[in-house]
Amino acid sequence: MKGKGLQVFANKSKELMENIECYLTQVTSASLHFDEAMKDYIAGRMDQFEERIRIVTTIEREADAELKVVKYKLYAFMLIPDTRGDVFMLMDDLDDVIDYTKRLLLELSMEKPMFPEFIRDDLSLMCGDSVKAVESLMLAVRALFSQTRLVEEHVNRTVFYEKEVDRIEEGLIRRVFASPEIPDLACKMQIRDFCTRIASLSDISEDISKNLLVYAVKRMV
Amino acid sequence: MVLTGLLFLSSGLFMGWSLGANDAANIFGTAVGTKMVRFRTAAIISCLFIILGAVVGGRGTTHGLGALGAVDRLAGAFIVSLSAAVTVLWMTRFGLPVSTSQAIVGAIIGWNLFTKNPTDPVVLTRIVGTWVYGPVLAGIFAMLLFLIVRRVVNNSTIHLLLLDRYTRNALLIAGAFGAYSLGANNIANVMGVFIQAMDIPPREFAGFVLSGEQQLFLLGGLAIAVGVVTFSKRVMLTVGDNLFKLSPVSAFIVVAATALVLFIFSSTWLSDLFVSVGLPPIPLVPVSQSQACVGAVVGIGLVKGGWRIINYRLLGKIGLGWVATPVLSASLSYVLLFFMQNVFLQNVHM
Repeated sequence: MKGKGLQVFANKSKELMENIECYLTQVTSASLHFDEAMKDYIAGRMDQFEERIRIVTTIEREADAELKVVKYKLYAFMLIPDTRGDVFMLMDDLDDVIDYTKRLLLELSMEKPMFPEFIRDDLSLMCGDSVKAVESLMLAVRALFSQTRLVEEHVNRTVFYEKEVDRIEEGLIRRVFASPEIPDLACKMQIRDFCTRIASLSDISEDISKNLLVYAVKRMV
Repeated sequence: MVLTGLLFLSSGLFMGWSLGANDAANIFGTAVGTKMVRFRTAAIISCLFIILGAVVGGRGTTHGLGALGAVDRLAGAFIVSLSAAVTVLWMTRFGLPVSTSQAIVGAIIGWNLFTKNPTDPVVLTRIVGTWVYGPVLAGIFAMLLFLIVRRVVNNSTIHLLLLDRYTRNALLIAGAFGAYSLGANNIANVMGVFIQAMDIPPREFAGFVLSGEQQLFLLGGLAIAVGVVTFSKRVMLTVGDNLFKLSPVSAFIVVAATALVLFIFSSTWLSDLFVSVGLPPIPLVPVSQSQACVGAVVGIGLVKGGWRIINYRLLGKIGLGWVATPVLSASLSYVLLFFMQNVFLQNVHM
Protein backbone atom coordinates (compact mmCIF):
# COMPACT_ATOMS: atom_id res chain seq x y z
CA MET A 1 0.00 0.00 0.00
CA LYS A 2 2.84 2.34 0.94
CA GLY A 3 4.66 1.48 -2.25
CA LYS A 4 1.52 2.27 -4.21
CA GLY A 5 1.25 5.63 -2.46
CA LEU A 6 4.82 6.54 -3.42
CA GLN A 7 4.12 5.39 -6.97
CA VAL A 8 1.17 7.79 -7.18
CA PHE A 9 3.42 10.67 -6.04
CA ALA A 10 6.08 9.80 -8.60
CA ASN A 11 3.47 9.58 -11.38
CA LYS A 12 2.01 12.97 -10.44
CA SER A 13 5.47 14.56 -10.60
CA LYS A 14 6.08 12.93 -13.99
CA GLU A 15 2.65 14.07 -15.21
CA LEU A 16 3.45 17.64 -14.22
CA MET A 17 6.87 17.39 -15.87
CA GLU A 18 5.19 16.26 -19.10
CA ASN A 19 2.62 19.08 -18.91
CA ILE A 20 5.37 21.67 -18.43
CA GLU A 21 7.39 20.17 -21.30
CA CYS A 22 4.32 20.26 -23.56
CA TYR A 23 3.71 23.91 -22.64
CA LEU A 24 7.35 24.87 -23.32
CA THR A 25 7.17 23.15 -26.72
CA GLN A 26 4.08 25.23 -27.55
CA VAL A 27 5.90 28.45 -26.68
CA THR A 28 8.84 27.46 -28.89
CA SER A 29 6.50 26.44 -31.74
CA ALA A 30 4.65 29.74 -31.57
CA SER A 31 7.91 31.69 -31.91
CA LEU A 32 9.08 29.53 -34.85
CA HIS A 33 5.75 29.99 -36.64
CA PHE A 34 6.02 33.72 -35.96
CA ASP A 35 9.39 33.73 -37.72
CA GLU A 36 7.98 31.88 -40.72
CA ALA A 37 4.89 34.12 -40.78
CA MET A 38 7.10 37.22 -40.89
CA LYS A 39 9.10 35.78 -43.77
CA ASP A 40 5.83 35.10 -45.62
CA TYR A 41 4.55 38.62 -44.95
CA ILE A 42 7.75 40.32 -46.04
CA ALA A 43 7.84 38.18 -49.19
CA GLY A 44 4.20 39.01 -49.88
CA ARG A 45 2.92 35.41 -49.55
CA MET A 46 -0.29 36.51 -47.85
CA ASP A 47 -2.12 33.16 -48.04
CA GLN A 48 0.68 31.36 -46.22
CA PHE A 49 0.89 34.28 -43.79
CA GLU A 50 -2.82 33.98 -42.92
CA GLU A 51 -2.40 30.21 -42.52
CA ARG A 52 0.45 30.80 -40.06
CA ILE A 53 -1.77 33.16 -38.04
CA ARG A 54 -4.36 30.39 -37.78
CA ILE A 55 -1.67 27.97 -36.58
CA VAL A 56 -0.32 30.44 -34.00
CA THR A 57 -3.89 31.18 -32.80
CA THR A 58 -4.50 27.44 -32.31
CA ILE A 59 -1.19 27.03 -30.45
CA GLU A 60 -2.05 29.98 -28.23
CA ARG A 61 -5.44 28.46 -27.37
CA GLU A 62 -3.92 25.06 -26.59
CA ALA A 63 -1.13 26.66 -24.57
CA ASP A 64 -3.70 28.54 -22.47
CA ALA A 65 -5.46 25.25 -21.70
CA GLU A 66 -2.13 23.58 -20.86
CA LEU A 67 -1.14 26.50 -18.65
CA LYS A 68 -4.32 26.06 -16.61
CA VAL A 69 -3.46 22.39 -16.03
CA VAL A 70 0.14 23.24 -15.14
CA LYS A 71 -0.97 25.91 -12.64
CA TYR A 72 -3.46 23.57 -11.01
CA LYS A 73 -0.95 20.73 -10.72
CA LEU A 74 1.77 23.05 -9.44
CA TYR A 75 -0.41 23.90 -6.47
CA ALA A 76 -1.69 20.36 -6.05
CA PHE A 77 1.57 18.41 -6.30
CA MET A 78 4.57 20.68 -5.87
CA LEU A 79 5.82 21.00 -2.32
CA ILE A 80 8.43 23.71 -1.91
CA PRO A 81 6.33 26.89 -1.90
CA ASP A 82 9.16 29.15 -2.98
CA THR A 83 10.06 27.04 -6.01
CA ARG A 84 6.38 26.58 -6.83
CA GLY A 85 5.90 30.35 -6.85
CA ASP A 86 8.88 30.84 -9.15
CA VAL A 87 7.70 28.18 -11.63
CA PHE A 88 4.20 29.65 -11.52
CA MET A 89 5.50 33.14 -12.36
CA LEU A 90 7.73 31.78 -15.10
CA MET A 91 4.89 29.91 -16.78
CA ASP A 92 2.74 33.05 -16.64
CA ASP A 93 5.54 35.16 -18.15
CA LEU A 94 5.99 32.68 -21.01
CA ASP A 95 2.29 33.02 -21.79
CA ASP A 96 3.05 36.67 -22.60
CA VAL A 97 5.44 35.50 -25.35
CA ILE A 98 2.76 33.47 -27.13
CA ASP A 99 0.11 36.14 -26.63
CA TYR A 100 2.44 38.77 -28.00
CA THR A 101 3.39 36.85 -31.15
CA LYS A 102 -0.27 36.17 -31.91
CA ARG A 103 -1.29 39.79 -31.33
CA LEU A 104 1.55 41.11 -33.48
CA LEU A 105 0.67 38.83 -36.37
CA LEU A 106 -3.02 39.79 -36.12
CA GLU A 107 -2.10 43.50 -36.12
CA LEU A 108 0.01 42.96 -39.23
CA SER A 109 -2.90 41.17 -40.84
CA MET A 110 -5.30 43.99 -39.98
CA GLU A 111 -3.10 47.02 -40.65
CA LYS A 112 -1.08 45.53 -43.53
CA PRO A 113 1.85 48.00 -43.41
CA MET A 114 3.94 48.29 -46.57
CA PHE A 115 7.61 47.49 -45.98
CA PRO A 116 9.75 49.05 -48.74
CA GLU A 117 12.35 46.88 -50.48
CA PHE A 118 15.38 48.58 -48.92
CA ILE A 119 14.46 47.57 -45.35
CA ARG A 120 13.28 44.00 -46.01
CA ASP A 121 16.61 42.25 -45.45
CA ASP A 122 17.21 44.04 -42.17
CA LEU A 123 13.61 43.47 -41.14
CA SER A 124 14.02 39.71 -41.74
CA LEU A 125 17.28 39.79 -39.81
CA MET A 126 15.59 41.60 -36.91
CA CYS A 127 12.72 39.09 -36.86
CA GLY A 128 15.25 36.22 -36.91
CA ASP A 129 17.24 37.66 -34.01
CA SER A 130 14.06 38.31 -32.00
CA VAL A 131 13.11 34.66 -32.44
CA LYS A 132 16.67 33.61 -31.52
CA ALA A 133 16.26 35.60 -28.29
CA VAL A 134 13.08 33.59 -27.58
CA GLU A 135 14.86 30.31 -28.42
CA SER A 136 17.75 31.12 -26.06
CA LEU A 137 15.20 32.01 -23.41
CA MET A 138 13.52 28.64 -23.86
CA LEU A 139 16.88 26.86 -23.52
CA ALA A 140 17.46 28.81 -20.31
CA VAL A 141 14.01 27.81 -19.04
CA ARG A 142 14.72 24.12 -19.74
CA ALA A 143 18.11 24.47 -18.05
CA LEU A 144 16.39 25.84 -14.94
CA PHE A 145 14.48 22.59 -14.64
CA SER A 146 17.37 20.19 -15.11
CA GLN A 147 20.79 21.88 -15.46
CA THR A 148 20.76 25.07 -13.47
CA ARG A 149 24.42 25.82 -14.08
CA LEU A 150 23.69 26.43 -17.78
CA VAL A 151 20.96 29.01 -17.18
CA GLU A 152 23.37 31.95 -17.10
CA GLU A 153 24.96 30.99 -20.41
CA HIS A 154 21.59 30.89 -22.18
CA VAL A 155 20.48 34.09 -20.50
CA ASN A 156 23.64 35.80 -21.82
CA ARG A 157 22.70 34.67 -25.33
CA THR A 158 19.19 36.10 -24.88
CA VAL A 159 20.64 39.42 -23.79
CA PHE A 160 23.06 39.36 -26.74
CA TYR A 161 20.25 38.86 -29.29
CA GLU A 162 18.17 41.56 -27.63
CA LYS A 163 21.05 44.02 -28.07
CA GLU A 164 21.45 42.94 -31.71
CA VAL A 165 17.75 43.52 -32.30
CA ASP A 166 17.97 46.98 -30.72
CA ARG A 167 20.91 47.84 -32.95
CA ILE A 168 19.11 46.71 -36.13
CA GLU A 169 15.89 48.44 -35.04
CA GLU A 170 17.65 51.78 -34.56
CA GLY A 171 19.32 51.56 -38.00
CA LEU A 172 16.04 50.62 -39.64
CA ILE A 173 14.09 53.50 -38.12
CA ARG A 174 16.81 56.01 -39.05
CA ARG A 175 16.80 54.80 -42.64
CA VAL A 176 13.01 54.84 -42.86
CA PHE A 177 12.79 58.46 -41.70
CA ALA A 178 15.72 59.55 -43.88
CA SER A 179 14.35 57.86 -46.99
CA PRO A 180 12.64 59.91 -49.73
CA GLU A 181 11.09 56.64 -51.02
CA ILE A 182 8.41 56.88 -48.31
CA PRO A 183 6.90 60.34 -48.73
CA ASP A 184 4.05 59.95 -46.25
CA LEU A 185 4.93 60.62 -42.58
CA ALA A 186 2.04 58.41 -41.45
CA CYS A 187 3.58 55.46 -43.36
CA LYS A 188 6.98 56.14 -41.80
CA MET A 189 5.41 56.21 -38.36
CA GLN A 190 3.49 53.01 -39.02
CA ILE A 191 6.69 51.21 -40.16
CA ARG A 192 8.55 52.55 -37.13
CA ASP A 193 5.76 51.34 -34.91
CA PHE A 194 5.96 47.81 -36.31
CA CYS A 195 9.76 47.76 -36.09
CA THR A 196 9.44 48.67 -32.40
CA ARG A 197 6.76 46.01 -31.83
CA ILE A 198 8.83 43.28 -33.49
CA ALA A 199 11.85 44.32 -31.39
CA SER A 200 9.67 44.17 -28.26
CA LEU A 201 9.53 40.38 -28.57
CA SER A 202 13.22 40.24 -27.68
CA ASP A 203 12.66 42.81 -24.90
CA ILE A 204 10.02 40.54 -23.38
CA SER A 205 12.44 37.59 -23.64
CA GLU A 206 15.17 39.60 -21.96
CA ASP A 207 12.89 40.63 -19.09
CA ILE A 208 11.85 37.03 -18.49
CA SER A 209 15.46 35.84 -18.68
CA LYS A 210 16.49 38.33 -15.97
CA ASN A 211 13.82 36.90 -13.65
CA LEU A 212 15.01 33.45 -14.63
CA LEU A 213 18.52 34.25 -13.41
CA VAL A 214 17.11 35.07 -9.98
CA TYR A 215 15.16 31.78 -9.91
CA ALA A 216 18.35 29.92 -10.90
CA VAL A 217 20.42 31.58 -8.17
CA LYS A 218 17.73 30.64 -5.64
CA ARG A 219 17.79 27.05 -6.85
CA MET A 220 21.57 26.70 -6.55
CA VAL A 221 22.58 25.35 -3.13
CA MET B 1 1.86 4.57 46.40
CA VAL B 2 1.35 4.82 42.62
CA LEU B 3 -0.25 8.24 43.09
CA THR B 4 2.72 9.43 45.20
CA GLY B 5 5.09 8.11 42.55
CA LEU B 6 3.20 9.95 39.81
CA LEU B 7 3.10 13.13 41.90
CA PHE B 8 6.88 13.07 42.29
CA LEU B 9 7.30 12.16 38.62
CA SER B 10 5.19 15.17 37.58
CA SER B 11 8.22 17.49 37.45
CA GLY B 12 9.94 15.08 35.04
CA LEU B 13 6.79 14.80 32.97
CA PHE B 14 6.54 18.59 32.85
CA MET B 15 10.15 18.68 31.68
CA GLY B 16 9.24 16.13 28.98
CA TRP B 17 6.23 18.16 27.87
CA SER B 18 8.38 21.30 27.63
CA LEU B 19 11.02 19.39 25.63
CA GLY B 20 8.38 18.10 23.20
CA ALA B 21 6.83 21.54 22.77
CA ASN B 22 10.14 23.26 22.04
CA ASP B 23 12.64 20.81 20.59
CA ALA B 24 10.36 19.06 18.08
CA ALA B 25 10.16 22.48 16.41
CA ASN B 26 13.90 22.34 15.71
CA ILE B 27 13.33 19.11 13.80
CA PHE B 28 10.26 19.90 11.70
CA GLY B 29 10.01 23.70 12.07
CA THR B 30 11.05 24.63 8.54
CA ALA B 31 9.18 21.74 6.91
CA VAL B 32 5.92 22.60 8.69
CA GLY B 33 6.44 26.38 8.63
CA THR B 34 6.86 26.32 4.85
CA LYS B 35 3.92 23.89 4.52
CA MET B 36 6.08 21.20 2.88
CA VAL B 37 5.03 18.73 5.55
CA ARG B 38 1.67 18.80 7.32
CA PHE B 39 1.80 19.28 11.06
CA ARG B 40 -0.09 16.01 11.59
CA THR B 41 2.55 14.05 9.64
CA ALA B 42 5.38 15.82 11.50
CA ALA B 43 3.72 15.20 14.87
CA ILE B 44 3.12 11.48 14.19
CA ILE B 45 6.72 10.92 13.02
CA SER B 46 8.14 12.95 15.92
CA CYS B 47 6.09 11.14 18.57
CA LEU B 48 6.81 7.64 17.22
CA PHE B 49 10.55 8.12 16.83
CA ILE B 50 11.06 10.11 20.04
CA ILE B 51 9.41 7.30 22.03
CA LEU B 52 11.38 4.67 20.09
CA GLY B 53 14.67 6.55 20.67
CA ALA B 54 13.90 7.00 24.37
CA VAL B 55 13.02 3.35 25.02
CA VAL B 56 15.67 1.77 22.78
CA GLY B 57 18.60 4.18 23.09
CA GLY B 58 18.03 6.21 26.26
CA ARG B 59 20.22 4.09 28.49
CA GLY B 60 23.62 5.53 27.55
CA THR B 61 23.00 9.18 28.39
CA THR B 62 21.04 8.30 31.51
CA HIS B 63 24.01 6.41 32.90
CA GLY B 64 26.31 9.25 31.81
CA LEU B 65 24.21 11.70 33.82
CA GLY B 66 23.94 9.24 36.72
CA ALA B 67 27.74 9.24 37.01
CA LEU B 68 27.56 12.94 37.97
CA GLY B 69 25.23 12.29 40.87
CA ALA B 70 22.97 9.34 41.57
CA VAL B 71 19.83 10.93 43.01
CA ASP B 72 18.54 8.08 45.17
CA ARG B 73 15.26 9.37 46.65
CA LEU B 74 12.09 10.21 44.78
CA ALA B 75 11.60 13.50 46.66
CA GLY B 76 15.16 14.52 45.75
CA ALA B 77 14.65 13.53 42.10
CA PHE B 78 11.41 15.55 42.04
CA ILE B 79 13.19 18.67 43.29
CA VAL B 80 16.17 18.22 40.94
CA SER B 81 13.86 17.88 37.95
CA LEU B 82 11.60 20.73 39.11
CA SER B 83 14.58 23.07 39.59
CA ALA B 84 15.80 22.33 36.08
CA ALA B 85 12.31 22.86 34.61
CA VAL B 86 11.78 26.15 36.47
CA THR B 87 15.23 27.38 35.39
CA VAL B 88 14.40 26.60 31.75
CA LEU B 89 11.08 28.41 32.13
CA TRP B 90 12.68 31.52 33.70
CA MET B 91 15.49 31.77 31.21
CA THR B 92 13.11 31.29 28.29
CA ARG B 93 10.92 34.10 29.64
CA PHE B 94 13.96 36.40 29.73
CA GLY B 95 14.83 35.41 26.17
CA LEU B 96 18.15 33.75 27.09
CA PRO B 97 19.27 30.68 25.15
CA VAL B 98 18.77 27.83 27.54
CA SER B 99 19.40 24.11 27.46
CA THR B 100 17.52 21.51 29.47
CA SER B 101 20.75 19.46 29.56
CA GLN B 102 22.66 22.26 31.27
CA ALA B 103 19.78 22.93 33.64
CA ILE B 104 19.60 19.30 34.77
CA VAL B 105 23.39 19.12 35.23
CA GLY B 106 23.23 22.23 37.42
CA ALA B 107 20.33 20.80 39.44
CA ILE B 108 22.23 17.54 40.05
CA ILE B 109 25.27 19.51 41.24
CA GLY B 110 22.89 21.38 43.58
CA TRP B 111 21.76 18.00 44.93
CA ASN B 112 25.41 16.91 45.31
CA LEU B 113 26.19 20.09 47.26
CA PHE B 114 23.14 19.73 49.49
CA THR B 115 23.75 16.04 50.24
CA LYS B 116 27.52 16.55 50.50
CA ASN B 117 27.93 13.99 47.76
CA PRO B 118 31.25 14.71 45.95
CA THR B 119 30.99 15.84 42.31
CA ASP B 120 33.48 13.94 40.18
CA PRO B 121 35.51 16.66 38.38
CA VAL B 122 36.44 14.23 35.58
CA VAL B 123 32.77 13.47 34.87
CA LEU B 124 31.85 17.16 35.13
CA THR B 125 34.65 18.18 32.75
CA ARG B 126 33.53 15.51 30.32
CA ILE B 127 29.93 16.77 30.42
CA VAL B 128 30.88 20.45 30.13
CA GLY B 129 33.17 19.51 27.25
CA THR B 130 30.20 18.14 25.30
CA TRP B 131 28.47 21.54 25.59
CA VAL B 132 31.30 22.89 23.45
CA TYR B 133 31.87 19.82 21.26
CA GLY B 134 28.13 19.48 20.49
CA PRO B 135 27.66 22.74 18.55
CA VAL B 136 31.19 22.59 17.10
CA LEU B 137 30.67 19.04 15.85
CA ALA B 138 27.23 19.96 14.48
CA GLY B 139 28.86 22.86 12.65
CA ILE B 140 31.50 20.57 11.13
CA PHE B 141 28.90 17.97 10.10
CA ALA B 142 26.73 20.71 8.59
CA MET B 143 29.70 22.09 6.61
CA LEU B 144 30.57 18.64 5.24
CA LEU B 145 26.95 17.78 4.45
CA PHE B 146 26.44 21.18 2.83
CA LEU B 147 29.49 20.73 0.59
CA ILE B 148 28.32 17.25 -0.46
CA VAL B 149 24.70 18.32 -1.07
CA ARG B 150 25.83 21.44 -2.95
CA ARG B 151 28.05 19.36 -5.22
CA VAL B 152 25.31 16.82 -5.89
CA VAL B 153 22.46 19.29 -6.44
CA ASN B 154 24.34 21.92 -8.44
CA ASN B 155 25.95 19.39 -10.77
CA SER B 156 23.02 17.04 -11.15
CA THR B 157 20.49 16.92 -13.96
CA ILE B 158 17.67 15.94 -11.61
CA HIS B 159 14.48 17.65 -12.70
CA LEU B 160 13.36 20.48 -10.43
CA LEU B 161 10.10 18.70 -9.65
CA LEU B 162 11.83 15.46 -8.70
CA LEU B 163 14.32 17.40 -6.60
CA ASP B 164 11.33 18.94 -4.86
CA ARG B 165 10.02 15.45 -4.07
CA TYR B 166 13.44 14.19 -2.93
CA THR B 167 13.90 17.21 -0.67
CA ARG B 168 10.59 16.54 1.06
CA ASN B 169 11.44 12.87 1.55
CA ALA B 170 14.91 13.79 2.82
CA LEU B 171 13.30 16.18 5.32
CA LEU B 172 10.98 13.42 6.54
CA ILE B 173 13.82 10.88 6.90
CA ALA B 174 16.13 13.40 8.60
CA GLY B 175 13.20 14.40 10.84
CA ALA B 176 12.60 10.78 11.87
CA PHE B 177 16.32 10.36 12.61
CA GLY B 178 16.32 13.69 14.48
CA ALA B 179 13.34 12.61 16.57
CA TYR B 180 14.96 9.24 17.37
CA SER B 181 18.22 10.94 18.41
CA LEU B 182 16.34 13.53 20.48
CA GLY B 183 14.51 10.77 22.31
CA ALA B 184 17.67 8.73 22.86
CA ASN B 185 19.81 11.67 23.95
CA ASN B 186 17.46 13.94 25.86
CA ILE B 187 15.33 11.36 27.70
CA ALA B 188 18.01 11.49 30.39
CA ASN B 189 17.00 15.11 31.07
CA VAL B 190 13.41 14.02 31.53
CA MET B 191 13.69 10.74 33.42
CA GLY B 192 17.39 10.30 34.20
CA VAL B 193 17.22 11.54 37.79
CA PHE B 194 14.36 9.18 38.65
CA ILE B 195 16.14 5.97 37.61
CA GLN B 196 18.05 5.40 40.88
CA ALA B 197 15.16 6.63 42.99
CA MET B 198 12.51 4.23 41.68
CA ASP B 199 12.49 0.49 41.73
CA ILE B 200 10.08 -0.70 39.04
CA PRO B 201 9.74 -4.40 38.20
CA PRO B 202 9.96 -5.47 34.51
CA ARG B 203 6.60 -5.62 32.68
CA GLU B 204 5.40 -6.98 29.38
CA PHE B 205 3.98 -4.51 26.84
CA ALA B 206 2.60 -5.78 23.53
CA GLY B 207 4.89 -8.80 23.52
CA PHE B 208 7.98 -6.84 24.64
CA VAL B 209 9.43 -7.08 28.12
CA LEU B 210 10.38 -3.60 29.30
CA SER B 211 12.74 -3.12 32.23
CA GLY B 212 11.83 -0.62 34.95
CA GLU B 213 14.22 1.87 33.36
CA GLN B 214 12.58 1.44 29.95
CA GLN B 215 9.12 1.89 31.46
CA LEU B 216 10.25 5.26 32.82
CA PHE B 217 11.68 6.13 29.40
CA LEU B 218 8.37 5.15 27.80
CA LEU B 219 6.52 7.42 30.22
CA GLY B 220 8.98 10.25 29.55
CA GLY B 221 8.67 9.64 25.81
CA LEU B 222 4.89 9.88 26.10
CA ALA B 223 5.24 13.18 28.00
CA ILE B 224 7.45 14.51 25.19
CA ALA B 225 4.87 13.26 22.66
CA VAL B 226 2.10 15.14 24.52
CA GLY B 227 4.28 18.27 24.29
CA VAL B 228 4.67 17.71 20.55
CA VAL B 229 0.95 17.23 19.97
CA THR B 230 -0.34 20.00 22.23
CA PHE B 231 2.07 22.85 21.84
CA SER B 232 4.77 22.36 19.21
CA LYS B 233 2.68 23.56 16.22
CA ARG B 234 2.88 27.19 17.29
CA VAL B 235 6.64 26.91 17.91
CA MET B 236 7.13 25.15 14.54
CA LEU B 237 5.33 27.95 12.70
CA THR B 238 7.49 30.50 14.54
CA VAL B 239 10.69 28.66 13.61
CA GLY B 240 9.52 28.27 10.00
CA ASP B 241 8.41 31.86 9.53
CA ASN B 242 10.26 34.20 11.81
CA LEU B 243 13.47 33.19 13.52
CA PHE B 244 16.11 31.83 11.16
CA LYS B 245 14.58 31.31 7.75
CA LEU B 246 16.17 28.24 6.20
CA SER B 247 15.66 26.88 2.73
CA PRO B 248 14.28 23.32 2.71
CA VAL B 249 17.70 21.96 1.64
CA SER B 250 19.48 23.87 4.42
CA ALA B 251 16.83 22.70 6.89
CA PHE B 252 17.57 19.10 5.92
CA ILE B 253 21.29 19.67 6.52
CA VAL B 254 20.72 21.33 9.91
CA VAL B 255 18.36 18.57 11.08
CA ALA B 256 20.67 15.78 9.85
CA ALA B 257 23.82 17.35 11.38
CA THR B 258 22.07 17.96 14.71
CA ALA B 259 20.63 14.43 14.75
CA LEU B 260 24.09 12.98 14.06
CA VAL B 261 25.55 14.86 17.03
CA LEU B 262 22.77 13.77 19.38
CA PHE B 263 23.07 10.20 18.09
CA ILE B 264 26.85 10.13 18.63
CA PHE B 265 26.52 11.35 22.22
CA SER B 266 23.87 8.75 23.03
CA SER B 267 24.96 5.62 21.16
CA THR B 268 26.46 2.97 23.44
CA TRP B 269 27.11 0.86 20.34
CA LEU B 270 29.25 3.58 18.77
CA SER B 271 31.08 4.24 22.02
CA ASP B 272 31.85 0.49 22.38
CA LEU B 273 33.06 0.47 18.78
CA PHE B 274 35.44 3.34 19.59
CA VAL B 275 36.81 1.44 22.56
CA SER B 276 37.20 -1.78 20.55
CA VAL B 277 39.46 0.00 18.04
CA GLY B 278 41.57 1.56 20.80
CA LEU B 279 39.97 5.01 20.81
CA PRO B 280 38.69 6.72 23.98
CA PRO B 281 34.98 6.12 24.69
CA ILE B 282 32.44 8.73 23.60
CA PRO B 283 31.01 10.63 26.58
CA LEU B 284 27.36 9.55 26.61
CA VAL B 285 25.63 12.61 28.01
CA PRO B 286 22.62 14.69 27.03
CA VAL B 287 23.61 17.62 24.80
CA SER B 288 21.59 20.68 23.88
CA GLN B 289 19.71 20.12 20.65
CA SER B 290 19.00 23.84 20.18
CA GLN B 291 22.67 24.74 20.54
CA ALA B 292 23.68 21.96 18.16
CA CYS B 293 21.16 23.49 15.73
CA VAL B 294 22.79 26.90 16.11
CA GLY B 295 26.17 25.25 15.49
CA ALA B 296 24.85 23.64 12.31
CA VAL B 297 23.37 26.93 11.04
CA VAL B 298 26.70 28.68 11.74
CA GLY B 299 28.49 25.85 9.88
CA ILE B 300 26.39 26.41 6.77
CA GLY B 301 26.89 30.15 7.12
CA LEU B 302 30.67 29.69 7.26
CA VAL B 303 30.69 27.73 4.00
CA LYS B 304 28.41 30.27 2.36
CA GLY B 305 29.78 33.55 3.62
CA GLY B 306 32.90 33.07 5.73
CA TRP B 307 33.57 34.31 9.25
CA ARG B 308 31.83 37.64 8.70
CA ILE B 309 28.36 36.10 9.07
CA ILE B 310 28.93 34.93 12.64
CA ASN B 311 26.69 36.64 15.15
CA TYR B 312 29.14 37.02 18.02
CA ARG B 313 26.38 38.48 20.21
CA LEU B 314 24.41 35.24 19.93
CA LEU B 315 27.53 33.18 20.63
CA GLY B 316 28.19 35.37 23.68
CA LYS B 317 24.64 34.75 24.89
CA ILE B 318 25.09 30.99 24.47
CA GLY B 319 28.38 31.16 26.41
CA LEU B 320 26.59 33.14 29.15
CA GLY B 321 23.91 30.42 29.19
CA TRP B 322 26.60 27.76 29.77
CA VAL B 323 27.47 29.49 33.04
CA ALA B 324 24.15 31.07 34.09
CA THR B 325 21.93 28.01 33.50
CA PRO B 326 23.77 25.50 35.73
CA VAL B 327 24.51 28.13 38.40
CA LEU B 328 20.86 29.21 38.58
CA SER B 329 19.62 25.64 38.46
CA ALA B 330 22.10 24.44 41.13
CA SER B 331 21.16 27.32 43.47
CA LEU B 332 17.45 26.70 43.03
CA SER B 333 17.91 22.97 43.53
CA TYR B 334 19.87 23.57 46.76
CA VAL B 335 17.22 25.93 48.19
CA LEU B 336 14.26 23.73 47.20
CA LEU B 337 15.95 20.60 48.59
CA PHE B 338 16.36 22.43 51.89
CA PHE B 339 12.63 23.22 51.94
CA MET B 340 11.65 19.70 50.91
CA GLN B 341 13.73 18.19 53.68
CA ASN B 342 13.04 20.66 56.48
CA VAL B 343 9.55 21.96 55.72
CA PHE B 344 7.86 19.00 53.99
CA LEU B 345 9.96 16.51 56.00
CA GLN B 346 10.77 14.34 53.00
CA ASN B 347 14.12 12.55 52.72
CA VAL B 348 15.89 13.79 49.61
CA HIS B 349 18.77 11.32 49.87
CA MET B 350 19.64 8.01 51.50
